[in-house]
Amino acid sequence: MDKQKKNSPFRIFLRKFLKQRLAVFAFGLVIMILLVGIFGPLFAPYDPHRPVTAQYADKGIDVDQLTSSTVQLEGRLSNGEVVDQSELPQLQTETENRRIASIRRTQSGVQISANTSGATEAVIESGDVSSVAEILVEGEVPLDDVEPIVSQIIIAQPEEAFSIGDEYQINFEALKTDGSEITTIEELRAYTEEKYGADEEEDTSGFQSGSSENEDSASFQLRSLTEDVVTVNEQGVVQFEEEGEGIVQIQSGDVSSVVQFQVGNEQVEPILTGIYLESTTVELTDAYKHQTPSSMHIFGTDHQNRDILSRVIHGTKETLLIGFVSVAIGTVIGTVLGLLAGYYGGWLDSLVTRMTDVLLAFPGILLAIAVIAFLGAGLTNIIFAVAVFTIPVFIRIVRASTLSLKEMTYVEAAKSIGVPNTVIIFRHIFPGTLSVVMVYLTMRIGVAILIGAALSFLGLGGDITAPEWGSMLSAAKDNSSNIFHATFFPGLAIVITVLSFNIFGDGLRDALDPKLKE
Amino acid sequence: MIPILFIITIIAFLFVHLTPGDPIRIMYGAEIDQETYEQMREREGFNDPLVVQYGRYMYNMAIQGDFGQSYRTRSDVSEEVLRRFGYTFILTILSMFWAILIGVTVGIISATKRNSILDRLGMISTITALSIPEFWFGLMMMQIFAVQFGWFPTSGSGTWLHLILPSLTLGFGVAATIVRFTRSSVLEVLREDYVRTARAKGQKESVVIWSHVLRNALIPVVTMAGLQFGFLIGGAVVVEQVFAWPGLGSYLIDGILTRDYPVIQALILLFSFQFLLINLLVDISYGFLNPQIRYE
Repeated sequence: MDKQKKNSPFRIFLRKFLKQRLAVFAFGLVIMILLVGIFGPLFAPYDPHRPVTAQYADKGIDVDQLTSSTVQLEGRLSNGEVVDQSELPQLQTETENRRIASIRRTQSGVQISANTSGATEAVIESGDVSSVAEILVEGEVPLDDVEPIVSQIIIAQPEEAFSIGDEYQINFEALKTDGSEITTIEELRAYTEEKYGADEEEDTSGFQSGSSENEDSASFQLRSLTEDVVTVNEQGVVQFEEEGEGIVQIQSGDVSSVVQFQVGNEQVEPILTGIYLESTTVELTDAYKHQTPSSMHIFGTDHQNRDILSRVIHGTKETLLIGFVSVAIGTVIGTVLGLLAGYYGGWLDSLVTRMTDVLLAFPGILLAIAVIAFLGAGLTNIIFAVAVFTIPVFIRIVRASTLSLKEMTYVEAAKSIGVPNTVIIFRHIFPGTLSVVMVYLTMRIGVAILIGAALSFLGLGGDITAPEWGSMLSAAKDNSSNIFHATFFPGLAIVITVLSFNIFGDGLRDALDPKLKE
Repeated sequence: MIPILFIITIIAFLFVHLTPGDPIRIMYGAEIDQETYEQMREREGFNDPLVVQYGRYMYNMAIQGDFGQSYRTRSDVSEEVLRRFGYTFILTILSMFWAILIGVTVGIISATKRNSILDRLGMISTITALSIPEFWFGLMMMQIFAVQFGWFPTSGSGTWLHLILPSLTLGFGVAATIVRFTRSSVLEVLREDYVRTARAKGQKESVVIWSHVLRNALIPVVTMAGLQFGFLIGGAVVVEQVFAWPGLGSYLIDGILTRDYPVIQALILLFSFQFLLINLLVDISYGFLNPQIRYE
């Protein structure tokens, strides 16, 4: 009993198969893919048909946190005191390009929200002083070559009082967003002309709505706001002319600061000399489209902001359906025709063989396209198209093995005792062809998935919004051709699936019938 | 071959009649009234018996080279096909060049260095390559070499640079098949007696490989590569779509998506004819390349 068990054909097969570690691994993968195909939709983190931003609320995720960031700001007074945002007079906030980001005031600072990807600047202005924050919204456009800009100017505030006739050299630091500083007037003038000169040209052609349109801000200024008290020359030397309060402003485009002088003995009211931002660069992600892979969306999101991971998981079912159903149809029809042609021979055989030859002369994909051309686009038609090009393969192999099995002594014996042909075919010949059919079945599923995906990639699957791997790639090609993650992951899913089936099929072939090996 | 071609023309002809949708309605829109509809039907000859229509179709096609007019653009299908044929032709030729260059080189290395790391690497790459869909491979090439590095244009046609990525993509799948075939062919020849004799008489290994093995091993490879040509044309349909290459493949897909029957009809015929021709040429060239077959 024990001995017989060891030598049963299934045992031998199992032993041979388990020896091929790669094939066993591939088999494991195939099982996993099947499980994902069946149960995947239960685990998919998001609804594959709707934008994720519409689903965040259901999942208790705060959208604001992803797309906006709060920047604390404070004002410094000329006497060195610090005031917070609520005490700043005439606070105005604006972004250069509202399509990219918008800004609004909050309790403790300003909140900047991303609208779409790109780079822009936020101007925060209070009276004569203003600062600028650079806003970078990561998205489909790579932002690596964004120039650092001057964000704030800090002018050294003299504490002593001056008397008429004194001269004073202004010292300042213009802080750039990359951390560097400009400290000389010439450099700052050159920088301003380069930056805002270029900006003005853009303004005439584009649709930007920004404060740079007004003459005043689009230039470098070093001027006295109280001409009768102090004057300032081009080199930044301040002359004190009268007693009273003197204010000098340095402006570089949208950024400006002032310095206050007390001339004479009369005390002056402290004024706001500068706005200081907690962070000068605000980096945000565009969460409305093409989110890059992150912990929330492992595969990122697509052009309609749908979660790619969920779509890949949902797509498994359809892809496997195309592969299995089409190959099953092809196998059944092909096997029956192959058995009949091989067993009966004659005109039936030559007709079937001729048909097979013609069909096999065409490359599979074109044959399938031709079938779709007849039937029209659609998922069922894709399945049928793939089945059509699977049929001849099975006819050929089943017919070949039927021809050799027909000559077996046991078939002859069955015939001689008068067993009907149908019984001979299905009880004595068909089981003999089964191992070859099984091998080809697994091998063809990979090919069928490939062709099916190609057909839906070509837009022949009917519904192009369906979460199917081929149509996902097709949509990615049209809408996000420069986004890596949108094109990468659906394709990777196809490759892994097809590769698993192919390696599994190879292993099955080696274990079942070593003669089949090329 | 002739009867097959004949059957294909019948299928292509019946195509318009078997598919759902009335051609007149597709041509002139669904809103035309019954009278004009009847007039148009008469003018386009849809009221004649099928045999007469088929005869006219064959006459126009075979004698006058007229494949009819596109339903959509009203332009001559044959002109459009001629214009696009060059694009597909140059794409497939260059792809074949890549496929043979890569395929034969890797195949020979794999076979001569059998069971080495190179061989294993080559075999794993070919299995993987055969599992990668062409369109995805094309998209990835586009991502890497066109979008990231900017070496090539992403899509379209115009310069020879436009041709590089599509042809590499198309050649890639065939290259994998050629690698496998070359490898097994070289391995087979390496077992032949004359190779053993050459080695036994002390011939240098490089001479053995170059003049004894490769000469014999590459004959079937050439044949196989020829047969793969047909599959390249199939793949071209997909690759043209990826790179917006204005060849016959994209014409066919556009035709199917807009139900432009004359276009589909003409292209099905043309593609079938190409395959039959390629198969025939391969059969003939086999006789030339391998004299042993000619005298059998």
